[in-house]
Amino acid sequence: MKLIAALFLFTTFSLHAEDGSFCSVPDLSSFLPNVELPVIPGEDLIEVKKIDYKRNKDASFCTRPVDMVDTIVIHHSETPPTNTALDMNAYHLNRVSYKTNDAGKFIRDARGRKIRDPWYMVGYSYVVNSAYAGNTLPIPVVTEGRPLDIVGSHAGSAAFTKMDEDQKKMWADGKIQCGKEGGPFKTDPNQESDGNIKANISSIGVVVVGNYAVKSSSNPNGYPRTKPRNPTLQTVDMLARLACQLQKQYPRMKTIKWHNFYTATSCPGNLKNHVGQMKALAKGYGCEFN
Amino acid sequence: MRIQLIALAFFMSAQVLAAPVQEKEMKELFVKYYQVMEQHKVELIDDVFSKKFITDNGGKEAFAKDVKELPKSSEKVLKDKDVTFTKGVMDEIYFAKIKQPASAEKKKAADVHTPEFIVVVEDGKLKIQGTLSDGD
Repeated sequence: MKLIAALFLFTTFSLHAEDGSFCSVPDLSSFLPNVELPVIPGEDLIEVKKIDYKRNKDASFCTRPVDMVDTIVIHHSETPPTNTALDMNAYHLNRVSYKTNDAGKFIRDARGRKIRDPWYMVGYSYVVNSAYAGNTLPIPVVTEGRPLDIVGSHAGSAAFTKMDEDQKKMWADGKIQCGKEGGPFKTDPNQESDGNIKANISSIGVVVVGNYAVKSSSNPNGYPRTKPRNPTLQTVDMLARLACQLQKQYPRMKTIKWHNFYTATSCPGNLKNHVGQMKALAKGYGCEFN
Repeated sequence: MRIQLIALAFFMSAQVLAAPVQEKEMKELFVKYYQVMEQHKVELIDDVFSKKFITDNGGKEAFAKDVKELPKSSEKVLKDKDVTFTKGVMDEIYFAKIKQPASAEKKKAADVHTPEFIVVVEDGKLKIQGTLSDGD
């Protein structure tokens, strides 16, 4: 009974404090029984849906401390906007890459063949669905993709970024481990090169489902030249909220980049032109991004 | 004997149905693809694109209209080496890459990437479902 009363009071005062009607929470220690109260989190900036994904148990992947991540990389999927996170997972489960070394070159077997490297699951850490301007579908939703502590597949396996001192220490301490489900995990020297680390290790991929690049023979799903397609304010705001929410949880995430910062690709199309707006909106939520 | 023959016939037809996609079929698909996209032969749209792709692009008429707004080219000749593809790890789906010609038009920043086409089997024929943008 005492616990319920304490929780009620604590919750009530916390809520009031959030809307400014109280300047401080009164000392409730006399009400508190000798148990730990649950942590009441602050209001989330955006709701993130969680789903179970099918995974390829034969695929190898790497794990990392989330603190290894300093960059959020924006992508578009190039697919229709109505594709879901499960659709992205289905595509990615069918994908095969080829193993690359610390110089970004393909590793070959004794017969000179590139070594196949099937994908473990969806390569992005977050999948953002949001309608094009003038459309009502899809319903806006952010879905969690590959868990943050599993290195994603999105920036390009040949892309490397310079490590800061904290990242160097995590690498040196063997915190990045690669292997397969149920198998042994070990450090893979191909993930690092002369103080640089694969960009997939130091970043997470956030994909906006849709196609924000112009239609061409390389991009049949793109927008017609006469009707440029830009993300709606709602889409940019969803990205800003997500980025800020991540930064509040993982303060080392201080940079927002885009796919073709790392690799020659048209991805993320016109989303790239809205990264400044994204950062400005995130600032309004109390976050600073480079 | 009859049972053996039936079993053999069944086995052979199953083999035909499960026959791997040949490079020739894939190349033919992309020859038609470029005929649609670069020479505006929109009458081939149904032969090239999946029903889903056509629906996602507002229907055949709307897609044909968009295609006709693209720059027309007659230079495209798909060489043997231009198409490479891999089969999906889990499903009957293919990812095809086309090596882009190095013409000035293609060197524009928007076209620098090598597109990865999603190819599906629909009514026993290869059809393009769109492209996928992902790094590895």
